[in-house]
Amino acid sequence: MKQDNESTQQQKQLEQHFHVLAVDDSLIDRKLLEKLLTVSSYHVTCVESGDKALEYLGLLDGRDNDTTSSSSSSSSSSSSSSSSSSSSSAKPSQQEMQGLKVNLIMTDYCMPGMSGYDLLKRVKGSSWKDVPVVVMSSENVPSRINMCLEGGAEDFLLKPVQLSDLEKLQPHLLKSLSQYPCENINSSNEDDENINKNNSTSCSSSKSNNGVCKRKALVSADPLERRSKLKD
Amino acid sequence: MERNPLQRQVAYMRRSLFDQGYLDEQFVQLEDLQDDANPNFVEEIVTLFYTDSARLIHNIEQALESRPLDFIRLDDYMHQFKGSSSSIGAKKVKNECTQFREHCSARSAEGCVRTFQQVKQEHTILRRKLETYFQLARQAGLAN
Repeated sequence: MKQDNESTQQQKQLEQHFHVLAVDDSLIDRKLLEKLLTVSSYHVTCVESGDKALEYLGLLDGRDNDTTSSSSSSSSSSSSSSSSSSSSSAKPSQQEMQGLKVNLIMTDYCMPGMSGYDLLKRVKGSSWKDVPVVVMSSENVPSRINMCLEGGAEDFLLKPVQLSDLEKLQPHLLKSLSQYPCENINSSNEDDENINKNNSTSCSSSKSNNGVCKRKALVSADPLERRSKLKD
Repeated sequence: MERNPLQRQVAYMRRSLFDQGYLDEQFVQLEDLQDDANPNFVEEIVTLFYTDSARLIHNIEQALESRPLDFIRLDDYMHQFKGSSSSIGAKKVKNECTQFREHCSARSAEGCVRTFQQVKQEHTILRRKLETYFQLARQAGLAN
């Protein structure tokens, strides 16, 4: 009972601090996604292209590769790169200094210019590499899905995206945030900074979920599974 | 809760939009997203769709005038159109878009021109029906 209470509380806290970057060239789909995410209690920033997404993340001029590190605790994803290999530069990016936090990137696959896959690769090759990236597409193309998953996508969603799809993502994402040692989770985690510290260390281990992701995404890629009967 | 006659009418109209295949389950998803904080969400997103698709229609019309036809470009426009239609649950419009894209794949100019008329037709029919529906729903809400 106590365990349940704590995990629900933790879930609520994480939801309130969860910031999603949504990337889609379609105005209608951006509005829909924004609504879906807001209703699910996430903060959301919508951009209309891969370039705009990179700009937002501070990756546009290519100055941030995986070699840039930051020990800033306000950035949930970037600080995790310090736990991986090559980082030697002590200078945080501007976004990190401003405390920019992105917990999830959701991107359309088919976009003019930079595709969702291109964006995925750029993100995975940057200091934001531990941020889960979910790719969306209106077309059910298994080879495309596999390519994205192998490229590091956390999941692949068929459009139009529904609330149930976001609900399916949730435990997945919560798990990636809470893979820190147990004692830190169960102790009172009221303040933001504590949660961010948990994020920073645990994100790097989210990769190990990839095997699970693949099965999940392929199952949800089946249109029959997702189509429910009309209400009423 | 006792429904007033207007509310019954609204419910009936809504039901027939689904039964006649104008709308699919995605429209229900939109309705589910509507709440007190955003009570006009469905109408807003539908309005947005019509504004946005007017632009696409214009682009397609222009592209259909060029010779030879650029089927890749046409298909790309229609991919966008189909995507938006699908996002609001516009079933018939979406199906016509699929037809159009098949003609693009087959590189059939005649097929594209013909199907595009059908796309526009369904697009207009749905707009009128939804305008009526939203208006009626508003009246029914006020009459409470």
